[in-house]
Formats: sequence, C-alpha cells, structure tokens
Amino acid sequence: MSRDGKIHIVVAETSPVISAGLSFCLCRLPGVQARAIEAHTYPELLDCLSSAHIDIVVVNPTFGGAFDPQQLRHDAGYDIRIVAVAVSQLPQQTLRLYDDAVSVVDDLPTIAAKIRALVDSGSETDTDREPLSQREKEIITLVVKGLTNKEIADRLFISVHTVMTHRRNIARKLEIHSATGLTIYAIVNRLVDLAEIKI
Amino acid sequence: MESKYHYSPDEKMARLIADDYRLIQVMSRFGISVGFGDQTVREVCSASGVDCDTFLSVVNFVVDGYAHADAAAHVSVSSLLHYLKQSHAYFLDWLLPSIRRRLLDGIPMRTDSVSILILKFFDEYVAEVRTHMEYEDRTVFAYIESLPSPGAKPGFSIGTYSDHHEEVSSRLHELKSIIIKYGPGDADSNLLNAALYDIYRCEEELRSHCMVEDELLVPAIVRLEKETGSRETPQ
Repeated sequence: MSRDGKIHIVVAETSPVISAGLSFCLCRLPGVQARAIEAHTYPELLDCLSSAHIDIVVVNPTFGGAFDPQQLRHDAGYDIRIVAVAVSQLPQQTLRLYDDAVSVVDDLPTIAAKIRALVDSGSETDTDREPLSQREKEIITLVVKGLTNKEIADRLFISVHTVMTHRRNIARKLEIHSATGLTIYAIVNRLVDLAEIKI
Repeated sequence: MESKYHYSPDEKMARLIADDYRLIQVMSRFGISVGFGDQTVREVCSASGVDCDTFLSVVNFVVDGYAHADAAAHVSVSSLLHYLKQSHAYFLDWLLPSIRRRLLDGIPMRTDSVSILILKFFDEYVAEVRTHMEYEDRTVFAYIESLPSPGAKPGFSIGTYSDHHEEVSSRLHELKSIIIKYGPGDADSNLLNAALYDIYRCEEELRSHCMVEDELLVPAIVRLEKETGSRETPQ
C-alpha cells in the first residue's frame, strides 16, 4: 500500500463509460480505501504505472486488442496484481494468467473482499482488529514517559532489538508513528497518569 | 494525431475551472488571476506571461492523476519552478496557518492535555513540512536554477533529491485519524469539521504537489542534466 494508506488501482478499459463506472465503484468499496485512475490505451496504462506507484491493475482481457498480463508484469518493472474484469464469461485458460477476476455483475462487497485479499496476501494483515498485547501497552507507557529504547530494554529485561520490534508493531496496529500521537493515545486510553508525563 | 493533452490551448479558461474547481489553485499559483472573461487558455497565459505548455501539463496532470510520458518534454523548467515555489508559499504561509487557527477555534484549549497535544502534533508537522520545503527552495530549486551554466553545484544531481515525500502526507493522515479517534468530545463541531475538511484538502493538495515534483519536475531536470552533460563533453 502507498504513502497515503490507500490502494492504488488503475482501471485499464477502452470504453470510457465502463472505465468510469469501474473506477467509481472501486473508490467506494466497503472497507477498502482505494484511489483509482483510468487508462484508456496501453501507452496510457504504462504512463500510469511509471508515474504513480500502482498496487492493482483492473483490466478488461480484450484491452488494447489482446491484453497480455505477462507482458504488463514485465513492462511495469515492479510487483503489481492484475485482476481481470469480465463483461461476459471468460475462458479458464485466460483467467489463469491473472491474480483474480471480478465480474461487472458482482456486488461491491464481493469485489471489496477480492481487492482486500490481493493486497493482504503480502505481509500486511488485518491490523485494525488486532488488539495491543499487554507488553505493547507497557512499552507505550514507557515511551510516553520519555524513556529511550535502551532504557526501556533495561527496564523490561529485553533487548533493544525486541523493543524496536514492539514499537514497529504498535505503530502498525495503531497507525500512529509519532511520540506525540502515542501520548494522545495513552492519555485517552488511560495507560498513563497525566502527572507522569511532561507535555 | 490525437491531442496529447486532455485540454488544449484553445479551450476557454473559464471552462477548465467549471470542469474542475481545483484548477483555480493551479491558475493562481501560476500568477493568473480571475477576470479573464471568455479568453482561451493560450490568450490568458500569454497575457499573464505564463508558459502555456507548462500550465497545461500541470492542469492535465492534476485532472488525470498521472503524467503523460512526454509531458516533461513540454515543460518550461523556470515556469514550473515558479509554480512550485508559489505552492510552497501557499502551504506554508496560507493553508497550514489557517488550519492551525481553525484547530485553535474548534478545540477547547483548556489545560486539557489532549487538546494541547493535538496542537503540538500539528506544530511538529508544520515544522517538518517547512524544513522539507525550505530544503527544496534553497538546495534543490537553487541547483536547478543554476543548471544551464557549468557553475552548477558539484556533486549534486537531481537523483540526490530522493523521495522525502512519504512522510509529508502520511503524518497528516495520522493527525486526521488522531483527531477523529481521540479528539475531545466537547469540541465545537462546526469549527472542528472546518479544520478537518481543510486537513483532508491539504492532504490531497500536498499529494498532488509532491507528484508534480516527482513526475514533472524530476524528469524535466533529468533531461536537462543529460543535455547539459552532452553539451559539456565535446569542450
């Protein structure tokens, strides 16, 4: 996922009507934060891939005459997921070349689940629902009190490396990367006493 | 051949704005003010001393969300630099201070530490953006301005200017989510909403600004460096 936490999708479809409809829907998938741009020709698709970091290409298999997913993977030069969008029934051997396929008659939750599965198949998991462990809460308290990683490690009898791993996981779960942000979290969730911290 | 641009120089300027109001920002950063009547893009640009190709490259970039492969070839570097400097001034001198005022108005600043911390978070963020943009103004843009002459700073090339842009917009994303998840419940909702709307808009505009730098400026400079380099070799 990209810098703004959104999934970046290119819709590659010759018909502006279908492409606008697809990108409209992709930006409104339940539980998926996506940004879609439209490419109506193969050169436009390549421009999109080179000028923005793209996670997923949603493409009509007839795009640009006959669309070759392997060729696009090669031309892109980085890891992208390619999803076929079926306007009618597609042959199995065509679909095998794609990471997944959606149909224009699918409902939005179905499409959303597929898109989510594609970006989650990497390292990221469903972070929102993962609660903080007791240890992580303890570490937040110490960070907020102004202790360095070394001091936290000494206090908890763990290595600095472990402290850093915990901090990375905390940042990922809470989507908070700054000390000030953590302080706000800690106060609101009563992990610390106001008297214990200096603002 | 089909026009490379979404909008052509013969389009009425007023139509661009009617189509996409974000283009008002683009226009004014190029130094074009309202009141141009029914003139075309070409006429308005020429009356305001703006390079029309550069203007349209930025306009089409903002509208389409990506840069056409040869867009950088049509760009006048000095016009684009002017535009980017004006953008910096807009963020630093206008938009960010106005968001801060709205936060101050919307969030009751008692001794309540969360309110104060939210403002602190914002101030830290603004300081980061300022450092980043001032670095660009002083180092990157100054380098680019010196480029055609051989007196360019040794050891610096546009490749050195790597992607600092990640943090610039992700921190704003964090601020938004902190206010929404942990903000004080007794804030004045109209004022706080106005601040949040501004933050959303600012995030969007910063993203677009950074993309113009990455996708129009950098390729244009890479070209220029190549040209300068090849001109110097035969000497």
